[in-house]
Amino acid sequence: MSFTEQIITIAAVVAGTMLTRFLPFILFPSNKKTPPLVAFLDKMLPAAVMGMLVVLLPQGYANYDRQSRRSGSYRRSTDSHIAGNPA
Amino acid sequence: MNNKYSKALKAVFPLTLPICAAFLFLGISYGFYICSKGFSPWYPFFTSALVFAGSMEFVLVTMLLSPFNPLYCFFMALMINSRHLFYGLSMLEKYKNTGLKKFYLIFGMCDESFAINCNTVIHEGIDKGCFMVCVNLLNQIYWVAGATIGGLLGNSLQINTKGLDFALVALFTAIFVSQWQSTENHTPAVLGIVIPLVCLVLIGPQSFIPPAMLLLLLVFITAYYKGGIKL
Repeated sequence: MSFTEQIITIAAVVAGTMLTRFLPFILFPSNKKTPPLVAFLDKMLPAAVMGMLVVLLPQGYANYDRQSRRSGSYRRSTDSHIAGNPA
Repeated sequence: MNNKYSKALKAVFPLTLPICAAFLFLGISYGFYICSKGFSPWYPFFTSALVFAGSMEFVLVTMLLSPFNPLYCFFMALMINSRHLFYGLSMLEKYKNTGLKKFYLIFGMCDESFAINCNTVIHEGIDKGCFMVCVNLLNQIYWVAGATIGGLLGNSLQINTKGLDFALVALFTAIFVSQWQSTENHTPAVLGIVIPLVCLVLIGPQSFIPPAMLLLLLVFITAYYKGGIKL
């Protein structure tokens, strides 16, 4: 992947992530009246989402741990590669 | 203006200490990871500041090493971060009247900032907008600093991050419990635990969140129309 392609890839990921954060605020702007169903969800979701986070987070962090352990083994293999390559 | 921020910062800083500990070290492990794949320390710096969504950044490393396919990356980012849609729906009311700060509040709405901003009762005399901006900003500083340090140290140091996540899980459980105590209607909290848990058991840890979110949404929409859950 070239440097430009890397920048486009990062930009695509930033755009996707930001869309998930901005979309509710774009759909339901504060200067317009929020539909009653959405106002209801706005009241119900915080407690439910906190519950979901308590279930979700240990999974996510277990994943971090797996990733960084994998990177550890990768590092060792590149080190030996460099060591065997005096140039 | 400055006084408003220094007041907010004083209130916010102690609340973010567990996040500081966890983010610094998790950030360092992300910095290690991406640089171990041959990227310069600029990459953890920019990606952690711009994407600012932990699990997504680890996946991004894999994407950068795969054939070029930005559309796929865009949709993967949508899927992986779909839970943010729920955060947004939960914060519509809280972010009202925050002016230009709103843009940054939405940009930096990570799991941890959301948890604090959504559930903390802000004391009188502290500006709501400044308080939430300080939460986001501190958390982002911890994360970007961690990632950059990790990138700079590179291979010279090994840190065992196992068990660090405990600080965050403890924090979230504490927030969950305090929210439980401050509300009379526990139905949403119970649903929020039970539905994702059932999905986790049935579907497994890789992809249980989107179906869990859909189910939660369905239950709440049904409750709204049938009047099963009281406000």
